[in-house]
Amino acid sequence: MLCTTLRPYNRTCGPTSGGLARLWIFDADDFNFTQAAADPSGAKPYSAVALRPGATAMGGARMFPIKFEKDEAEYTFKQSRKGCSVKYEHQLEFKLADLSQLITNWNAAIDTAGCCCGVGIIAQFNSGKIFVAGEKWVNSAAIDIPLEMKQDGSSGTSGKLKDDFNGETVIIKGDHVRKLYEYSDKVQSIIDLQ
Amino acid sequence: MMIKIKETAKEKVVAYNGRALPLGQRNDYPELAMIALESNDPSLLEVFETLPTLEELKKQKVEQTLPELPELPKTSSSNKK
Repeated sequence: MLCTTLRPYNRTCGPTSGGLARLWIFDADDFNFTQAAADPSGAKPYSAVALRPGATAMGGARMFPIKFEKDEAEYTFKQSRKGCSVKYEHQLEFKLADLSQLITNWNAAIDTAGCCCGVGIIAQFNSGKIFVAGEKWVNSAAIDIPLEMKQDGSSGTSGKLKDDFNGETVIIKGDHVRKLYEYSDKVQSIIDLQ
Repeated sequence: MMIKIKETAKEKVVAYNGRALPLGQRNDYPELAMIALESNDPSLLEVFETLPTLEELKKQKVEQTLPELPELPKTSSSNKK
C-alpha cells in the first residue's frame, strides 16, 4: 500500500472451459471500441463497438469469421521482463482445412494487413468470454500503444495418407505491454457485424 | 426521462446490448446512453439529441429492477399479543 496498489483475485467459484469457440479478423482502423473509465478495480472491458466514420459494411468493414478446425484453436501468451520493462507475447494458433486457392487468397490478404497495419482479432473462448487483440481505436481516439498482430510462423501440409491433415496451421502473433482486454457484450453483437 | 436519437444517427450501427443494428431500428437507448456517459466516447455522445444524466439513468434502472412488493394485509393493534 505504501509503495503500490495491489488487488485480490477473487474469482467467483464455478467451472470453466478451455479452447476457442469463434474467431474473427477485422481491419483495426474500421472499428472504434467503447470503454468505460477505469475505477479502483482497474481497467474496464470494452462495452460496445461501432464502425468509424468512413468505414461501411458495404465497403468491406466487417468482422470476418474464420472457420477453423473444431478444437484446433488456441490463444496463448507469455509474459517476460527486463528490469521494469514488461512484455506480453500474444499468439493465436488455429488450423484451416484444405489447401486451396481460397486459403492462398486468405493468406495474401492477411500478409498485406500484417505489413501495412496489423490485424484486429476477436476471440470467443469456450468459457464464453470474448477478447480483443490488435484494436487501434478506443473512445474515438487512437489507442496509446497499439498491439500489431501479424501472421508469422504459419505452416501447412498436404499430408501423406488419405486421413492425414491437409491444410494450414496459422500463427498470428504480436508483442504488447499488457494482457488483452475483454469485450463484455454478448457474442450476437459481433455476429451482427459480419 | 427523455432520450432521443438524432435523425442523422439513425443509420449508425452500434454493437451493444446483444445486437448490432441501425439505431433507428432499436429502442434500447437507455443502455446506449449509459455506455456513452460512462465512457465519455464522443462518437456515442453525439448520437443523442437529448440525454439524461448518468444518475437519472441508474435510478431508472434500479426502479425497473426492483420487484413490485405485494400489498400486505393490514393488521390491527388488537391482533398484537
